[in-house]
Order: sequence, then C-alpha cells, then structure tokens
Amino acid sequence: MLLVNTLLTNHDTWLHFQHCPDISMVTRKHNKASSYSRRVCRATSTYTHTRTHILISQLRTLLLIFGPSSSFNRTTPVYMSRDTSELTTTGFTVKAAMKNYRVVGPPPTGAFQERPAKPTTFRKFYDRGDLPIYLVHGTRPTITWKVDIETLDYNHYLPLFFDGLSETAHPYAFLARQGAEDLLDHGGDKILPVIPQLIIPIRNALNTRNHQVMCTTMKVLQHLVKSGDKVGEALVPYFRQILHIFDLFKDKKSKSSGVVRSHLQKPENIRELIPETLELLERTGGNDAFVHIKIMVPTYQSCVAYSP
Amino acid sequence: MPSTTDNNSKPKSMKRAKEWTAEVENLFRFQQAGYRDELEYLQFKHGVMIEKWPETGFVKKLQRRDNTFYHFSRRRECRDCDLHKVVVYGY
Repeated sequence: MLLVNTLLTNHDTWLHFQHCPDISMVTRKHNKASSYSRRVCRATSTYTHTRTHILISQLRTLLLIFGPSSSFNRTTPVYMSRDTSELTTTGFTVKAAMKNYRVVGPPPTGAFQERPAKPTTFRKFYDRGDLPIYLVHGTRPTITWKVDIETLDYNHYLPLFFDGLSETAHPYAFLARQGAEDLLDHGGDKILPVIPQLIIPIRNALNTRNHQVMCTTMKVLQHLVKSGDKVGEALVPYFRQILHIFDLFKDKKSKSSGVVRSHLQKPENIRELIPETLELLERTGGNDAFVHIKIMVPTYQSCVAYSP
Repeated sequence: MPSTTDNNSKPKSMKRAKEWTAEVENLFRFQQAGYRDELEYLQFKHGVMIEKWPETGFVKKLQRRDNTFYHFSRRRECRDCDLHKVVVYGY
C-alpha cells in the first residue's frame, strides 16, 4: 500500500492526499467552524498499478487543486463545487422533497412521433416484377396495368396494394395509392370478402404517424367505404383496431397539418380529413356504427339524426 | 362526331378544348391511352364494345396498342390544367 501524504497550506487549509490502491481519498480540512470532508472515489489503480500511473494520477489531482479553474480565494471546497442543478429526480419520490433536488417532468411518450414503417411486401413484389402494373411518365405520371383488373385475384392483390400505403418513397407510394384506387373502382362484389385482410395494412399505415401516409390512408379508406354497399357495415367490427389513431390526431395542432403536394391541389389537412372520414364511416356503418366510433373517439359527435 | 361506318375517315380540322364537358373528358381519356378519339379506337380494335361507367358515361377501360390496360375512375380525371392538352378533332 502506497501512502503519500502531502500537506499543502493555503489560506489555512490543509489538503491531505492519501493514495490507496483502489481509492484516492481527498480530504480537506477547512479552517472554518464547519469542517467537512468528502471522499472522492475513483476506480483507478489496483495493486498492480505501475509507478508511472500513480504519478500521473497524482499530477491530475494537483491540477484539480491548483489548476486554472481553481480558486484559492474560494471558501467553498474546490472539489466540492457541486452543481446542484444536475441533481434531478422525478416527482412523487422521497428525493423530490429534498432541498438539493430538482423535480423534472415525466419523459415524453412519443405518441405523435413518426415511426418508420417496416419494409413492405408491396415493395418487394414490385421490385421483383410480380405486380401487373408499371409507371408511365407523361404529362402526369399514371399507371398502366399489364392485365385486365377484372381478371385479377383480389384476395391476393388488394391486401398487397394496401400494404404499400405505408410507403413514402417514390414510386412505391404513388403506385400503391393509384393501384389501390383502381382496384377499388373496378372491384364491385369482389371487395367485400377481402375486407378482413385489409385491416392490418390499414392499421400499420396509420400507426406510422406520418402525415402524408395517414392522409393517403384515410382517403383510400373513404374510397373503400364508398366502393360497395355492405363495405361500411363490414368495417364496423374492426373500428377498435383502426380508430385509435383518429382519437390521437383529432385535436392535434401541427404546423405540418396542411401538406400541399402541388400548387394545384387542395392541401391535405389531417384535422379536416379525420371528421370527414368518421362521418362517412358512421353514415355507411349502419345502426351500430356510432356506438363503436364513440368508444374509440369519445369526443365524436354524431352526424346522423336518429329518428325514434 | 361522324358515324363509324366510314372506316377511312380522317380528321379535317383540330382545335384545343377550352372548357370541360363530358365529351372533353372522354377525349382526354382516349388521348391518354394513345388514340385520337373513339373513332380511331374502334378502327384499331375492330368494333369492340367500349366499357363506360353507367352513372357518368365516362370511359371505364381502354386497351393500349401494346395490349396493356388503362383503367379510369368514374369521377372526372381531366383537370383544368390539362384542358388545353385535349385536342378536339373535326371531320
């Protein structure tokens, strides 16, 4: 055990250094009435520590005391310049009642934070060339179908295109949206049996919390509801899976709520799209629709006048 | 529009559309698919029936010359900014 005692006097203060293999204890006996000592523990040396390392650590300690930041005229201990603002704690704890602690609020939940979408099967299929569409660049981009839509298997392709609604990159986002709308336009009776398979892609797209993706998904949802007579009623059991996002963003103020894609298009305002979509779901969902919407969006007011 | 009995009819004049009508909308759709108008489409397809939306009368589906398909919605697709691109042929 190496013991080094150094006595330094400065304005009637003594500094004792004790260097032990495991800890270095720096104590200072102040000349004032209230004397105190603190221990600064550093996990530094061990028994195998070399002389060089010991000298370096001593020099560091000396620098701490006599370095540029030190002040010999200070009455408070040098090593004790403890910034109390660093001591923080959460509320409703024992530490919160203590003098030296600052109570900070709870951490943000990230409810509105955008979440990156997982890689979609739509992208994989399009890159492989399995989708019967391709992009035509002209005066405005359009999609061309390699086969007649009415001959397609909707059980396979419609969920695939809905899965692509989570995409934000070009051309996937455009292809998914336009393709889904074309399929819904020409589907007819084929759409109703596929509704259960569309819920998970719709939920995943809404859960990204991306404004553009959410606006696109809501417009496609409106199109889906209008595509057939019974589609609105078929969606009612799945409201609890897709409407929780509507409740989150219904009253959220956002600078980016008006997303403008071009100067000719109306800005997509999510705060206008949400009530519009909910009203459409209620109108086409039958008698039980309002109750199910109200469970998920408690602040929603009915737009349908019920006659007794 | 002239009757389709004359298979060799070619347009004598052309002008650009100034305002939107249902006819302009259909012309827009044919020209999107690469045809002049309905007459040329029927000449190319040899009298195949053109599918139209029952509510609006707009063209529903067209087959391009490379045998791919253009599907159109029942709503208006010709925007005001695209009107000047629609050519109205006179026979």
